[in-house]
Amino acid sequence: MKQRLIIILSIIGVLLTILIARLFWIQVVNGADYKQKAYQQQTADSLISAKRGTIYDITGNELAISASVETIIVNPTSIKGDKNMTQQEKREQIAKYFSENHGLDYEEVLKTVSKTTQSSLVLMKKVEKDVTNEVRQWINENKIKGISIIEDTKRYYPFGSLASHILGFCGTDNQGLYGIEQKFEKYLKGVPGKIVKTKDANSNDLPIESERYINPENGYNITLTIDATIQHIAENYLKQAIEEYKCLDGGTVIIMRPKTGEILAMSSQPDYNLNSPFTPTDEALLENWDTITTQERIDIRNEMWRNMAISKAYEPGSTFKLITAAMAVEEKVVDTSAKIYTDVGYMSVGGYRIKCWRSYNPHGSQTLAEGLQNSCNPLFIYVGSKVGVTNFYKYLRSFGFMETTGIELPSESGSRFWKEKDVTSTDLAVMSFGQRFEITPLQLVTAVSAIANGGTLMKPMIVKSITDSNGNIIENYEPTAVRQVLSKESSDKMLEYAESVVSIGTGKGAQIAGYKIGGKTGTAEQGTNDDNYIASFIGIAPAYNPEMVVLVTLNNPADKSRRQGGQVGAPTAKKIMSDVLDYLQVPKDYETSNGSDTGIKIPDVRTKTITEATKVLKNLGFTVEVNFDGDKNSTVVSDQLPVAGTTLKKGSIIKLYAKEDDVRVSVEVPHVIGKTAAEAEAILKQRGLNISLSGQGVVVSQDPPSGTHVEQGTVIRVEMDNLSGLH
Amino acid sequence: MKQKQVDMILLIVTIVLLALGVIMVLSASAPYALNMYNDSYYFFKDQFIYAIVGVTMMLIISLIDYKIYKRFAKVGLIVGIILIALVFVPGLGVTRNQATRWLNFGFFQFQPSELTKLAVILFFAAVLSQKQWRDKISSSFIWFLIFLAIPGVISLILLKQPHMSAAVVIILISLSIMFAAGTKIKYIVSLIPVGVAAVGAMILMAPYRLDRLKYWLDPWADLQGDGWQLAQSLMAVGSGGLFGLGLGQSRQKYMYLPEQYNDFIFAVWCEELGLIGGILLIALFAIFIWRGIIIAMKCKDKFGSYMAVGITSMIGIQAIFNIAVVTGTVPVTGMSLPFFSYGGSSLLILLCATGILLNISRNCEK
Repeated sequence: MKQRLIIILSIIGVLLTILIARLFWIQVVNGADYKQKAYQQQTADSLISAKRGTIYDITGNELAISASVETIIVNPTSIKGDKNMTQQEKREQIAKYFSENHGLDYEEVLKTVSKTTQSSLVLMKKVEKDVTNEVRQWINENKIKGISIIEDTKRYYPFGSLASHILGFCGTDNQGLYGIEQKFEKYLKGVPGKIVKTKDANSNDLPIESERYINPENGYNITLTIDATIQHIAENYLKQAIEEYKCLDGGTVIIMRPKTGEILAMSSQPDYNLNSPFTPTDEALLENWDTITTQERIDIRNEMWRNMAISKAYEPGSTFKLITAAMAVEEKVVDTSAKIYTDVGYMSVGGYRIKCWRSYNPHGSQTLAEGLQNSCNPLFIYVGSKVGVTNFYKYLRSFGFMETTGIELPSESGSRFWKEKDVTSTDLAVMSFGQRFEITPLQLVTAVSAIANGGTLMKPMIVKSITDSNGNIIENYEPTAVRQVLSKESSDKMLEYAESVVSIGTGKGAQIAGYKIGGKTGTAEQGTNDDNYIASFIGIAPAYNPEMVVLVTLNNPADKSRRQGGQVGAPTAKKIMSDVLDYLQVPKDYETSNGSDTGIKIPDVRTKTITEATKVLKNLGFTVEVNFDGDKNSTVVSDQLPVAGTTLKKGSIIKLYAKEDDVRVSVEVPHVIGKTAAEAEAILKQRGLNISLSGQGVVVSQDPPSGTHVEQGTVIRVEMDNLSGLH
Repeated sequence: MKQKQVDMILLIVTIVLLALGVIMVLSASAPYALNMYNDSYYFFKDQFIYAIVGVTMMLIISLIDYKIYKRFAKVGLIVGIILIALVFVPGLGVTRNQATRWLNFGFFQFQPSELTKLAVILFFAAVLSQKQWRDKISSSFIWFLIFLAIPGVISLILLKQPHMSAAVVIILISLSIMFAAGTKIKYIVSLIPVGVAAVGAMILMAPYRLDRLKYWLDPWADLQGDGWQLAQSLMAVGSGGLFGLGLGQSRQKYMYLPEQYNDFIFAVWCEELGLIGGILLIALFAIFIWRGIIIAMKCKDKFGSYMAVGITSMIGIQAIFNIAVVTGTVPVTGMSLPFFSYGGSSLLILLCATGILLNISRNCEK
């Protein structure tokens, strides 16, 4: 028997050894693999969105900011019944709550929360904190499981439609879709961080201090060369002109600082509100919005979002005579001191009879300067023929017309010219006065800036610098000279001619008291037999020390008697230049006899309610435009344009902006020391506060300390450390 | 008469196993208890009280001469069979997870199969301690089969509950005692094809068992369904690595592991204490079994010897099976880990049985 018992013992011994070997196999040989599998199911990443960078104008105004909002998500399988309610009743309760209180569709919500997928589904995307706080309270009161609220950011444009075509906007996932938002996406977006939380099989957080987190890296901020005040001035007068002159296809304005190529303002009208970019601004369109097809909507939106100033090439017409003249002066193909041509009202070229705009009253014998002042087509046909095709094209290239300017904006389009080898004498003749080729407004401004700045073609600049969230400079953009196009002498001579166009020529409408202004009008047929004109004016101010080159194009003015560049373009450019000269405090060229026209300094009204601010500004003689639909008596002005301190003439438009949700809420900072990252985040979120983490482990310090009262949305900095003994 | 000394090693190992077991119930059950009863100590308190009562009973029983049980052998067997049949009486039987294995006595529920195991041990030990029966099973295959019919009938009743693991344990205990009592090895070996045929028949009767087999080989194939238990168990054991995540640090116990404080408590143990802990626990059971067999060897009478073999094999078989299930070495069946798994009636009976074993050890040759 003893022997048999030893056999039993041996069998058991063998079995136990096998089990130990098996344990070794699972825990040591394959341990890491199983651990990885377990880790995957036990953890859930929750993303901390990176704050998208702010876009500033050159003076530090915030043009695009990221507001902290929240998204409500549901994990349908985590919705559980309790003592009082079945799971189905809970689902119905949720659907009822969201349909009655937050405007969601009952059936839709019920469908979502009844899904059996493991994943989280979005219930409400990007909602303000006051809404999520309500939802939080309801969740707590009703012990709802499965609904959670995650941090998110929403793009907000304090100035609404201002510079809409430059800034562009973001899609629902905060991805830049147009403009700077699109072009600088990789700088602006930042890198999202995450918290890896440990979860039980029902997706509840575990009380294990093992979470890891990776801080989000906030996006870089971008400072534009745009000045919001100048942009505002430009947009206002452009809108006024479009309305006054009934421009059927809108218009554009570009203001460039010729010495550097910096764009101070750029506007295409009609524009759109960046805070609701999908809604058409045209009210007639909006009314029929529901009746048109999806494709039509897409086309309308694409047209609305199009930055015509850089992406719509047009026939410049007579403004281009500045370029032709510059070629002739630089190449010295005509005698600038003599009468070079006698206009008889037309000129025959290659069998075609090309008329001057004033063929009923020919200009007679003129110098080059006089030809420019009169905008005499036959004279420029003559000048063009003197320059010749080869030189003409050489200058087209050197003035940058044969390539895009390379501005840091998306969708810049190029120009359309005949091929050099195909150009006939007739072609050259019409090109000499700016017809039968297409260039973009930006190309013309850039080329005229070269004439104005001493002859150097500058690359247009729209971005001044990129900085990180701590203000460190990531990239600084410096003015870039592309090439020398003209000599200083030719440039000076051209400025003199341009000034004479305004002082005694067709550009008289652009005269500004106290300043010498240069410029050139343009009235160009678009296409060959279409009754579609673009009236334009390109201005240089002040003419002999240019601070700005301004191009105004007014597209397709309806009134046939009022569609000349000199009639509509010059006065519009004048208003813009006049206000901008004041704003930039450019020294006057001469004292004006009429001193009563001095401006009024705009006060700072940003702490006042809209009603008060309106009153104050109206009493000073300004026209006030309010960009806000809510209660004007209780809402405080958040921004104003032009900014305080700017001196403007009586009657100038001041725009006031306010934010709907700008009711500032003060909250007490809770105590989060000793908490894990996830706990601290949850506690702070509950109060509408944001967190910034550093270190690892548990919270050892916080700033501001608990008990302090701060505004909602304030970032609470917490420092973490591994206090291994505290577990 | 002054009592002789009990086997101190066995006593100490039992107490250590029990103490570790109770601690492990606390660690493994706390999340579930908190979730279900809002009290982390819900199961621990229960188990702790049973452990105190059980140890007291064990110590008292170790003072009672085991020989007096011999006269209850036949009555005990009959009672044991009746008890497992009683679960089918409406009102008495309790059904959980589609298995009717419990009896309800109002204030207290228990699993009669635990008691039946002990009744079978007592019966076989009592009968085979008589030479004429010993001779019959060692010379006649027919008599071997007749004896085997007793656990066979019990197993059929248990399979009806269904409670396959108890049936397997009872058959293996019976075979162990018969083997110790000198039945021919070839008789036992000849059962292997019968066993294989029985498994085949059972699979044919209930095809879900084939799926069980499939997911035993590849639990990841149906992670959300039949593979869940084993996959979770393997992830728990594997996560432990060499040294474990630390006592109380199991993650898998948070609703991933099924029966985390019961059938799969060893998985939590391994996750928290690693391979080192796993080997330690297996070693403790090995010492227990070693002492049990030594007691059987040294016992002066056959009855005591066979009782010792029966009790030791009962505990040994359950421990080996449980660990084999948790490690995926055999297909999943509901087998608890002696002294560890949560469950009052099971713990009490195990400790009572150990008390008998301790008393037998007093009667050993020193």
